[in-house]
This record gives sequence, C-alpha cells and structure tokens, in this order.
Amino acid sequence: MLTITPNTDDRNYTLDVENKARKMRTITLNINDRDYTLDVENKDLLIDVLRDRLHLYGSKKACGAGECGACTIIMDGDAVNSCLVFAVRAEGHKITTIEGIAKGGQLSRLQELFVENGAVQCGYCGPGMILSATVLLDENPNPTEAEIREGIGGNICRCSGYVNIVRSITQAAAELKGGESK
Amino acid sequence: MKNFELIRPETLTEAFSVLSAKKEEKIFILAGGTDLLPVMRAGVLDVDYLLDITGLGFNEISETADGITIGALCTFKQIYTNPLVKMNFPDLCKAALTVGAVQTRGIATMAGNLCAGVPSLDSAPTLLIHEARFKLVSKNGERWVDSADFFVAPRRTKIVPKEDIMTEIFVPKNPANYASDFIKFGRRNALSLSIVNAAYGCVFANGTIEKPRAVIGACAATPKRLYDAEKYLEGKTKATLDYKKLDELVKGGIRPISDLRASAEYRKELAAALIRKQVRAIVEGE
Repeated sequence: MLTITPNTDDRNYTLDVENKARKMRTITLNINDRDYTLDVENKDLLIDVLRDRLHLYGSKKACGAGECGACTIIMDGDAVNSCLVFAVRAEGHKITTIEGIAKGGQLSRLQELFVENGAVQCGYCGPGMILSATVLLDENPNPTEAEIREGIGGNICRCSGYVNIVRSITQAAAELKGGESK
Repeated sequence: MKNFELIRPETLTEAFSVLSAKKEEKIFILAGGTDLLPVMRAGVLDVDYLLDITGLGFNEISETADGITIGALCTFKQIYTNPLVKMNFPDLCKAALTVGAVQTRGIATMAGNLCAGVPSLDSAPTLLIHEARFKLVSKNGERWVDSADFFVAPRRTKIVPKEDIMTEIFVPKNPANYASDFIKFGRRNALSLSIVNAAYGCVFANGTIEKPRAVIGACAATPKRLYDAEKYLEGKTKATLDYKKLDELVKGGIRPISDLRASAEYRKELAAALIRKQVRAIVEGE
C-alpha cells in the first residue's frame, strides 16, 4: 500500500508516482462469469481488448466515440459503451457481453423475440440493442413505449429497423410480467 | 491513441502530491472519461499522464439541514435515481436524464460535465437556478464557488488546472411553494447537444411570482442567468405579466452564435419561447 505524507518535498514522491503510473499492466477482467488475465497498455480500450485480444466479436465497434451504442456492454448492471472505457478501468467490475446473454446454448427470450420479429436487419446494432434492452427490463420490467425508446436511445440502427426492435422488447416485457404477448 | 501513464491515487493527499510532482507535464484528471476519451482518441488532446480519481470515493448523496450534497464522483444515473434528489429537485433529475444516452449516464459524472464547462452543458442551468455551490479542493485547502461564478469561458471554469479537484456539489433546499423546470431542446432526445436549454424556477404563492431565477444555456460563452428578466418577473401576477416584454428581456440577456446546430436568430427566438413556456406553466398552471 502506498502512503504519502502531505506537503513535504515533491521530489520524494517521484518514485512512488512512477510505480503507480506503469504504462503496461497485468489485469484480470471478469467477463460473462469467467476471469481473463492479460497484459494491456493503459491506452487500450475495452472494446479493442474484447474483440482483438479475447476474440469476443459480438461487441461491435463503429463510431468509437460513444455515439452509436454498437459496443454496448453491461458493467455492474449498467449499460456502458465499451469504446469509452479503458480496459484497465474495467478490472474489478462484472462485465457481460452479448456472448453472456445466452445460457447453455439457449437464447434469452429477448433474443428469441428479436429473431422471431425480424428485429435484426444488417445485425450490427443487435448486440448493443439487446444488452441495452436487457438492462432496461431488469430495471423496469413494465416499460411504456416511450421508456423503451428512451432505454435504447443510445443505440443507433442505421437500417432504421426500430419498429420491430421496440415490438420485441414490448413483447419480452409482457411475457416477463406473465401477461399476454401481443 | 498515444499511450500514457495512468495514476490511480487512493487519497486526495496522494492526488495532490501527484499533481504537484507532475505540474509541468501534460496531466489531466479522469473521472467518467466520456468527455476525455473521444478528444484523446481524435488526437485533439495530447496526454502524457491521466490522474484517475475514481478511487477517491466522493460518490455519496446525502441530506443536510439546508440542502443536498452530491459527491463529485456520482454518475448522472446515481443522481437521477436517488430518492433525495428526486424528491427535492425533480428538475435536476430531468436535466440529468437528458445528458447523452443510457450508456453515458451510467459512467459519466455531473461534476465532470461541469468541469468540462462547454456552453451547452445540461447540468448547469438547474444548478444555477438553485444557486448551487461547488467545493474545490487543492493542496492549499478548500473553497466553495457559487455556480453563478463558476463558468468563465467555453471549456474554462474557476478550476485551476493541475491544482483543483471538485469534490462536492451542494444544492440548497427550495423555499416553500417553489416550482421549477428544465427543458433541453436538441435535434433528438438522446445523444445530442442542446441547441438551447432553459431552467426556470420561482416561489409562487397567492398568484405572485417571487424570487424568480431564469437561466439559458448554449446561447453565450457560458450558461447565462437572466438578471433583467428576473427583475422584471419579481412580483408579477397573471394579470400584470407581459410576455412580449419578457421575451425581449430574455433575448437581451443572451448572445448566441450561429453554428452547425442552429442560427443565432433561431436560438434567440427559441430561448424566449422556452422561458415563456416555463413561466406560463407556473403562472397559469398549464
């Protein structure tokens, strides 16, 4: 543990500062209930580590600036753009990617509904949409259409296939609370 | 992106030691990172060191006798889901909900938004009408800055770079019979910057406006308190309020520019319309 006494000569800290600032680190990421230990550089973004190092290609990279939602993952229960997170800062958090949504080869009900409704056109926005919608339904099992649109507001579908996406989420919500699906 | 060194202090003391030791270097403070990462990635910001302050705590929201204290590392989501904030400042929740998208609000901090200090920031107008204060700490001690004095120029605030760290946002409790609102007007609901944003609040009892506060964002170098409009509104009732006069005072209090989002003329009309709408909602109960 690093301890520093305040307001003495700054030069005394230099060594500790350097030790704390390593450009390369060994980190362990908990992704889909599995631990991955790897060396990363400070600048490495979580999306790049997921795809290029861990070969989890479900998370897509598009804008790279937090504007499209294609790289959405779930971190400690929140939907997060993995292009806006340094991989080193994801250590210690519980991460779920689209690969972790199906259990034992069985798609989640939301995924099934996306397939049934043809909510996937080119497919690029799909993983992000499903993860954002999963978080939405966890937090609000009975959303209005406006709340659904708000929940996926950060995910852009450039095929503009929103109607079937919203329909799938609406049906999943209806089934979740045991009601009749439309 | 160029590589950099990442320093993750565990205490404020340690953070200030690092800032002192590295004050000649290109060192920046990292909280949520949603504002910093895109500019680093685009090569706009040259960074050698990042001071990651997320390990310092400052992520609690608590109630004091005269207000609500929001830790500077609280995310927008923590703020708009917090029962204390919801109950006392629904307009602040509304503002927090308009920032970015779900994915941004889960990691971005309100304090980070304030410190970035862009003219269109959506956190500022409601904090200004509530006359919130920000606690800035440096190795030399701490000080409180009024939200009205905090913004200096686009991307410049009272924060002294490489010295100050914002640790708290304090929002004083509303007086009795207080009503307020926030409106963000952008191209779409999510993932857009405000063309104009507006906050208005006042005490409204027995049909009379008291202590009015009006703020317009994205229409000047910093968010603008509309002191002339406020002075005009003081003591007005439904019968004595002239909306045309109010419009002129709102337009006179701002200096918008034309940019890719809207023209200056459009922004002026819009700013007047938003404040008029908010005033009318309270005065006429619409």
